[in-house]
Amino acid sequence: MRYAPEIKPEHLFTGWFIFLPLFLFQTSLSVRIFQTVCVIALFILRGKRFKILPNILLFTGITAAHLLRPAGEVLLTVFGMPITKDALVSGVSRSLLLIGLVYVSRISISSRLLLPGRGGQLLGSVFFYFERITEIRYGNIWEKKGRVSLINAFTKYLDDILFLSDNLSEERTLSVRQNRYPGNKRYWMFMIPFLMFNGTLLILNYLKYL
Amino acid sequence: MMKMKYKYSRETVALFAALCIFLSTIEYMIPKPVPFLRLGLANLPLIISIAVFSPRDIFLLVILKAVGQGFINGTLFSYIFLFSAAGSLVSGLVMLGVFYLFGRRISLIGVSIFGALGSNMIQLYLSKVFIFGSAVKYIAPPFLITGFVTSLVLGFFASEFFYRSRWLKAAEYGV
Repeated sequence: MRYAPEIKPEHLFTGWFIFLPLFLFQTSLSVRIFQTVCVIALFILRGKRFKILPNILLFTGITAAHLLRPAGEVLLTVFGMPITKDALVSGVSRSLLLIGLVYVSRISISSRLLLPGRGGQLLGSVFFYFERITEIRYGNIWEKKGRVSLINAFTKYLDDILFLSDNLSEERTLSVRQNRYPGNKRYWMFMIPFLMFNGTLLILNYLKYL
Repeated sequence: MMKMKYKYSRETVALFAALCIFLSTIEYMIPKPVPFLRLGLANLPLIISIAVFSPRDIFLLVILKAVGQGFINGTLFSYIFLFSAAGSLVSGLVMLGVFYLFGRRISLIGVSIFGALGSNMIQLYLSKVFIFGSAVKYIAPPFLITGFVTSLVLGFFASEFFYRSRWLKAAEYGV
């Protein structure tokens, strides 16, 4: 299921751009867990591919790194290493923040995004190419007869991407021309209450109610 | 190394920036045993661009790389963006400087090492100011050694790509 796939890219970007500080400055761990789950759920609903393994690696890596510096009450000891409360909370919060920010960025950026000005157009091109590069499958680079050196495989990989640039430029021009969407009311009908809710959570957190 | 002229457009600069971001995303997925142990994969297109683009386009690439990475990796509003942007900018400046200063007498490996040194120095300075204070002296040696080794490897890859690439050969139009 996808929600409102015809959302104008500029509207999508604006909505999530407003959400960024509401997520970034939230210090309550429970609210941060809720926000991260919401962001990932909406990312999946947009029809984007979500991979769980890199996120688990990121989550455990950052949390483990924080646990190396004990702080606060000792909760338990694993193989002689103390697991402390403050370090655990800080690690979980930090890792969720990083994971959430990645998905906020990925959900808010579309290949058809046009920011104002020449710089904005060029940045739009960068996002467009990035999305196309991530869609290319590179498995066949290694499927060569005989031994293929890492250098050859790497050179072929970069060359393939660079040779694609001509076709991609044409596709980019086409996608810019087709970028004539009506603003999506349904999107804002969801996004405004969502932003207000998160704004309220942020205020409540700063007033020490959370 | 030989200075050649290449045919490219602003879209090629945008494509190089997208490649930087893609490589940084790959690097982001690789678990690091220690936080400062970075491969710096995202700098690879930047190193190659030193021999291909005009100075103006190299700076455009640095800006697009830093801002684009900030958006895609979700670090635009964090101190990571400041470190990344400062590192890229200084490394771009240093690489460009040594490339134009030494010309044929320096390879992309040398360019890469100088670039990493510049980038690491500014990041250490920022670490001193914003994070570690004077304790930065303890992380400086492993940080600089790691930077040297990874820049050597990256420079080697960039150099090999430079001599083997079909795309670069097709884009050549003069010395």
